[in-house]
Amino acid sequence: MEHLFVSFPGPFPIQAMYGKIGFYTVTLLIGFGFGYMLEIGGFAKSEKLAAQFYLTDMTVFKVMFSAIVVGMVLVFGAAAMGWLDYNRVFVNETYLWPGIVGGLIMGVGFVIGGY
Amino acid sequence: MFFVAGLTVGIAIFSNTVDRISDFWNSSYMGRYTLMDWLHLPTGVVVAGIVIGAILLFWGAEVIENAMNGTKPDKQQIKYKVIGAVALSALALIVAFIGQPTPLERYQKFFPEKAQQLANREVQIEPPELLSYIANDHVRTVMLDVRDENDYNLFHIKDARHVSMDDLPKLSNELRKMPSNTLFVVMSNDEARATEAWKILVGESVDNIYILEGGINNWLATYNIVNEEERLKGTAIAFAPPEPIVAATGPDTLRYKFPAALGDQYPAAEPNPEEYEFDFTPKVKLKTKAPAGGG
Amino acid sequence: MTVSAKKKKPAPYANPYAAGALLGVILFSAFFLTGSGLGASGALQRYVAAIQDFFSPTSVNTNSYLLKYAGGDVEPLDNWLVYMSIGIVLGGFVSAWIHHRLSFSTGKGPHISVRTRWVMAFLGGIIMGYGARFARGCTSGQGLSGGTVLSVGSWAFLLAVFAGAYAVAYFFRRLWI
Repeated sequence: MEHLFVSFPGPFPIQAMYGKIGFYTVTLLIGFGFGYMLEIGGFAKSEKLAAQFYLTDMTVFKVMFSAIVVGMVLVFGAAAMGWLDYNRVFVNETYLWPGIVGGLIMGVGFVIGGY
Repeated sequence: MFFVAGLTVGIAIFSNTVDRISDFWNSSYMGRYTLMDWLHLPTGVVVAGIVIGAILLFWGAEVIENAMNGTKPDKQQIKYKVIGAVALSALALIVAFIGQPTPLERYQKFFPEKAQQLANREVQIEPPELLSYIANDHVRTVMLDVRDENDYNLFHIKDARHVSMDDLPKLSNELRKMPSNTLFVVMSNDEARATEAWKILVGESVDNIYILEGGINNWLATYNIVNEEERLKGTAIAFAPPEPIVAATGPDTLRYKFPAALGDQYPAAEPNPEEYEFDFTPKVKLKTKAPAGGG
Repeated sequence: MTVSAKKKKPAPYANPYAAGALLGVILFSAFFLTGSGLGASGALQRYVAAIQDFFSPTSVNTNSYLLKYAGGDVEPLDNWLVYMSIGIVLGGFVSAWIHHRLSFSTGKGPHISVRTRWVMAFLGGIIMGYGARFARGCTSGQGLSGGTVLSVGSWAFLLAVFAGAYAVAYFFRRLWI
């Protein structure tokens, strides 16, 4: 199927275009949005976070997976339309067992620490 | 905050002890391994599947939450949630239907300037230029030989990698990760197949990639010198000259006969750069890469 | 965690799906603009590396893991993750302020003391910090970002986090319920 391509797909070489200052500013803004969203979702309150694991408040699960699912549809939608080059998108390298062990450890820490 | 202090300590502990468990910590490396690779399913299917799975899980989460808290679901809210779920699923299905672009489509639309360079013959480098880069210690040269395996086994340039056309997209993941002072050169017998491979790899965002001008045939024409001394002693490995009628062999076929499939054991596979004059129009322009990463 | 309660009532939290969806848009923007996702533990890692490098450069230079963050001339704080972390803190702070949720309190369950909670928070932090770098990323970098682009390792990581937490939740219930 003919894709609706543009000749300037993302991701953009921001460092090349605006130098480090530009790149770090963009990153800072993105981080700002991230922190803001986390706070309004209730992630700054440890009882709320811990309640996830006692099944009384599924906010953690809902927020995380809505984020992933929405982000995913947008990313692959943009890739399908030719607006984003998936090959240039950073995909975490898989180290299977260290990732699993690290995740288990984090889960334990999550329940103990509350964030 | 105590938690953040703890985090810092935890990270410090990890940083200073990971050396001891580095065997495990570096194990099970699978590189850029996506769910599509694992399940052998097209991207769109995976995306749609996850969306639908997530919606089901959300519904389940609501049920559990209400059960644990003794609350009843809010009628108003349900309407919004259903609308949201349907909208998201519809989007996902549309994405699946449109499909991800193929390498050639990517090449044609993302890199129009490359097609121009190809037509202007700016990306085809002559054998002497390739040889100069092979000899160059500052640049790593990766040679990709996309011919049939038979041809590769008969003769190939030393250190050239044999790659089948089907493996190219997967290979591009590996190639993109290499340091930015890496030069990639694709070669076939003439140029036809190499050019196809080049387009695919360019479409997959591989930088610094060029085509060997005239291919292996040209390389052999340039470096197939038989050492007279060895020939007299009977220790030379002799070639037959090219077939006189080009039409008989067809485009992009090997035009040399080899007495044996010795691969890179022939002297022409590894010409000594010092014996030749480097007389060529340099075309390679190495590009450096921007960083990306995660945390 | 924060300053004393103000006169206004704290606003209720946003709908989790809405917050999540917006977060998803931000995730997408990060990938679209920069090609990388989000990240947090990487920033902390760099702060740690910088501090350690300041006090004891040799310990950094002889550690193959820390080398790449702060060895020799490498400047650990010269990295986008550091700036993202600053943005995250600012964003969380501003949101809490606007919604009148800025307060110094310790969230905990009813059956333990504040002191215990502090200790557990510290301990939990240590474990999470360790686990995050072990997994090469925390829930935002490895989990959300890697999950969005469908990395197998990231999905395995996410499942492991939930599994690990649910597995031990029972044993630590006195902390929370």
